[in-house]
Amino acid sequence: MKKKKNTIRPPYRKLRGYAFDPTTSLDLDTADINQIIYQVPWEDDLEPGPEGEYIKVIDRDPASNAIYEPVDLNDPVILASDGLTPSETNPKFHQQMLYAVIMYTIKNFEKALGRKVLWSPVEKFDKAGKRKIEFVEKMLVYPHAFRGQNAYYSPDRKALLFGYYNAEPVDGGLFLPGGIVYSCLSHDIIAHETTHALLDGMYSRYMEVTHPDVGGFHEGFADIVALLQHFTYPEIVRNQIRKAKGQLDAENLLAKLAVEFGQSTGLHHSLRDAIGKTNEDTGAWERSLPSTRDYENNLECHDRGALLVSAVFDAFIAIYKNRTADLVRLATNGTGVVPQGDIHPDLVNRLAEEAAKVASHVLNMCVRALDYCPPVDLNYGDYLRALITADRELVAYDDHNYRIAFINAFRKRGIFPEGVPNLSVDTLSYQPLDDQGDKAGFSSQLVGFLRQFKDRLSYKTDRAEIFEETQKFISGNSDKGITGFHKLLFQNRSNLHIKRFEEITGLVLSSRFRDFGINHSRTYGRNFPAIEIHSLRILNKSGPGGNMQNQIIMSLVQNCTVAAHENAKGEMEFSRYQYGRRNNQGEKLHFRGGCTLIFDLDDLRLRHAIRKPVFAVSSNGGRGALKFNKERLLMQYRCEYGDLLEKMGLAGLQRNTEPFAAIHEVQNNIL
Amino acid sequence: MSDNINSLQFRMYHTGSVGDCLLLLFRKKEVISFKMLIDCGGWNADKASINACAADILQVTGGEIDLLVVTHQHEDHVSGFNQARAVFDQLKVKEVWMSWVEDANDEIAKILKEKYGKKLKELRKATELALAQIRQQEKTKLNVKRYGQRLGMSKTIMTDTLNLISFEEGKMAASKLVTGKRTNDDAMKYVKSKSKKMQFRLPGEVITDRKGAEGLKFYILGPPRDADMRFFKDPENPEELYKLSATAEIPEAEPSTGNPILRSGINLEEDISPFEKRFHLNGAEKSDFLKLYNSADYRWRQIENDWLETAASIAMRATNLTNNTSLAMAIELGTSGKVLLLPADAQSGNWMGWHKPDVKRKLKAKGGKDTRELLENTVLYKVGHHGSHNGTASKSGLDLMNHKQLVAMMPLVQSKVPKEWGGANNFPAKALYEVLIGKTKGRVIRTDEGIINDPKAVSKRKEMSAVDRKAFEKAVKTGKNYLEFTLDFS
Repeated sequence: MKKKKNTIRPPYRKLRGYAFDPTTSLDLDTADINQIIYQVPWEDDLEPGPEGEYIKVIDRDPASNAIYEPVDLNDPVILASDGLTPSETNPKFHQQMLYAVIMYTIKNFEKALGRKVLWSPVEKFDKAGKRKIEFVEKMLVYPHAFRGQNAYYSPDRKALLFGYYNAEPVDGGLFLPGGIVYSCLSHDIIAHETTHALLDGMYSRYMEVTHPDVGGFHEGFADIVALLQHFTYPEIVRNQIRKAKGQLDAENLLAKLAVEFGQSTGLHHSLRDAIGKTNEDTGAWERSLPSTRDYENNLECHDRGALLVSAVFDAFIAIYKNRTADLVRLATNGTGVVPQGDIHPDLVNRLAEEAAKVASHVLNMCVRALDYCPPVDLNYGDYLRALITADRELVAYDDHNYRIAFINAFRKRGIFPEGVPNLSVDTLSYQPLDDQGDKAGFSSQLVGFLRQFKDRLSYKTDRAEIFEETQKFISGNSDKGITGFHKLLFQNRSNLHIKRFEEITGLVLSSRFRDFGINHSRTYGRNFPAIEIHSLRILNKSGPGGNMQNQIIMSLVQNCTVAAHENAKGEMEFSRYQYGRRNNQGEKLHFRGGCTLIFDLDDLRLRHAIRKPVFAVSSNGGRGALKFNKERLLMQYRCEYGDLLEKMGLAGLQRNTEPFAAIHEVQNNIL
Repeated sequence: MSDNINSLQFRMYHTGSVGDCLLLLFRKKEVISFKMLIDCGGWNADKASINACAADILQVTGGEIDLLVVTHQHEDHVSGFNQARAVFDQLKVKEVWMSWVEDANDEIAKILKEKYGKKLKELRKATELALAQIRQQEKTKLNVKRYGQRLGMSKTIMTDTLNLISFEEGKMAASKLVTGKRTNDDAMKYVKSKSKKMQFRLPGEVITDRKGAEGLKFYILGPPRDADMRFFKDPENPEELYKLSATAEIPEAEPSTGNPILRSGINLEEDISPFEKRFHLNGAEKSDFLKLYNSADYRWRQIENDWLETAASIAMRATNLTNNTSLAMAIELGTSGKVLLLPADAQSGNWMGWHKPDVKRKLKAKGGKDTRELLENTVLYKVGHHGSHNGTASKSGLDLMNHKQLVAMMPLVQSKVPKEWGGANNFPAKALYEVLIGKTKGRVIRTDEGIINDPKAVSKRKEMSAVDRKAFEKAVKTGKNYLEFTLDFS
């Protein structure tokens, strides 16, 4: 008899795993909390590997010349026991651990972004040599890819590679001398690498270090996700609060825990310095005090990343403190001094729940902010503005002062967005464009396009289908009656029109594009500038007040090839790079401008245009001709060829085919 | 005092590439009384250039030198002894100095050399295997962007790595010799045989009694000799590097007590899996897997080379380690108290070792100056490791060199810096160069440029009094294949 297909699905798949990594289980203080159960979204068609909708685990180990058997998480025995028992010696558990943490991280992103995540696509070319963008359905995950103390995301191969290595006997460490350490068993490393891949799927240009912040952002953001995700498991915090006894001081409690997380992975050395450490003289644990010079001084890419983590972490602590102040008052009769001895278990539970809740909120805010970031050349000031704007648009009443906490944390470290008169929620958030700002009818010209896009994609949940349909809207498809976005942009060729569009997007749309070293469009011919459409997504976010936010987000990028040369006065000058010219034009730069456009889906109006203009904005207002955005160009020049290259610590970096491998590399002793 | 040395002629040869070949002629009044040669080599140097240097040395010294110092076993310091063997055969050497690392009877040196030799062999094997695999993979063309480019880049990196390994072995320049392949080892052996008076020097020693060198004190600073070798393993201490990230906290050094002499590295055997056999795919399952894995859909996403590519960074660190075996010394010049500092290619671990309490104590007891005092009185600094970012320590080194008359001599031919070292852009390291120019008031002399014409240096020199500037310019002489600086300290 054929088995009847069950229509009821379990909401989650429960999988056991390490909360930190295997070494934590060896420490008596933390052994009882190191095993947790990850709840990941149920996937119907999960194949052995595991291979699901988003990832495929391939356990090839070339150094051992071996392939390991894939785990089948739908095996009834495994299903009934919440997955395999955590074990270092069973490669199938390694596969399970990877699947659990990666899916948990993806779930957090999708929740915050209000849409399905897509990996960055691959560029291929057909037999005629024509370029085509192909959908990448599954990220490949290699648990035992190589032998070495490293793990990385490979943007070219759309793969996550995890290494393993022999532990060194370190005094006081928990590693067995000569024992093997697997990076694929560390929650932090997995979450960190997954975040790199997710971020690359949204903004592929964030790997181009055009500003010290861009280099720091990828690392810092990946650490933020790993760190905050830890705090979303209440059982971990609960244990720590229980142990803390009279010391309920949030700063010590959570920060110390954060540093302990980091220690086991070895990936967080600069993080340790950014958050705090034990004072050698007094033996007491102290938090590092931020200084308004931090932003200026921490240029090295790891320090730069840690700076961002410490700022976000600071905000997290401030919010937690604020939210638990009443509980502490209740528990201490208003004295703030907790009596000696164990804390009441109810209080422990409540505090732990608050910490988990705040962590989840802050993580949400951090991820959500990505939608309001420019597609190129992101700096921390932009990120802060994105964070505040994104939160303000979704959460009307900030009754717990989350936004103030963030602004303060960034301010204390000297991170000030450019062109903002003072630091307040009002001035930091981008003001929605009104009808005036949209005089030339940017929205009205696009309204048909947006409506068609909305109708076709609103209810699509299949990622491949979303990708393919979106491609049709980007490049146009006459069979389906879809006019491509690019063509649409140039339908009305009046000067006024083009000028207004330039003002909104920060991109060069007039025939002057050649002066900026911008190629002509490959699809629409010589008279039109090339514009890359990096993403076009529809999203539905829901706020805490039950309100819905429905938007279309689009990001546009333009590429200029620029020559940089020094003039007689020793100043840098920039001009269009001329291909084929023999004489020395100076250093070649790929300079990019871009903008993120946010449309309100309900009235199909342009709400925000977040730009990194190609040209100097001041030159755009008057009658004068457009000029290069020299400020941004100069910064990029300094990063690629000038003083900042060395200061960021990228000058002597080992050349590597994998951009993330060199950054993560741990300097092993060679003997 | 009339019978003391009172001037030094410091000659820095252009060996046709990046390398050290330094001739020091010490004079009493106008008469040369002590002749000293430090190293002779170049990265992939051409035979003619290096032979011209050797011939000049032979002629200037009249065929005899008092002291030959070979600082460490790297091609850019020893290739001359292979390439210009015939010339050096004619040179009489009264005494040879090397560091304790080259002493075949030293217990720590034995372990160091053995482990190191084994590592080099492993690296060569990994690199050659990677190159073979890449060549195989290149045969299949795929329609994926950057696939071919990435393979090409891999190939370049691995080829460079192989060159670095050859450099370590000393096979590079030697491969051009007609007389067969000679390695760095051969050069070292040859130098050791040049004089019956072969001395292996230990940090803390002070030598004051050499005939003809009356008034000179030779202080031996490094390499540090410790059972745990932690100073060798620290070629890139972040607090000593010239990267200028001013606020970075300094990690505490791990305590060394009780550690075994050598830590185990990655000693997993190739082809041996860490997992039990029952987890391995075999037979039909394995061939099914491979069929998929090798299909066009997956080929561009394979990970077959990654484990071998780590060899590249290990090879770079191997080079740093050999640099740390450099015999580093300082020479105090007569009663003037002025000091000449010769760190060879020492990297931060070596520099830091000079400040170890026992080393400082010994130096002070035997010679009268400890490490700090030597650095403070340095008036002539032979810049470490051709001006690299890690060849001059900051806190343990340049920070302490504050003498008003400081002059720096940098053996660097920028255009010849190999890409295997990170390329010419990083030599000299910009941050280091800036500090050097400031401390010397622009008095930096380079093999390829002479008195440097960096705009900052030029303007610094303009700030000097005309008399001082003239005196400095007069002291520098450019020969056909050398740069020379004369220091008068009577």
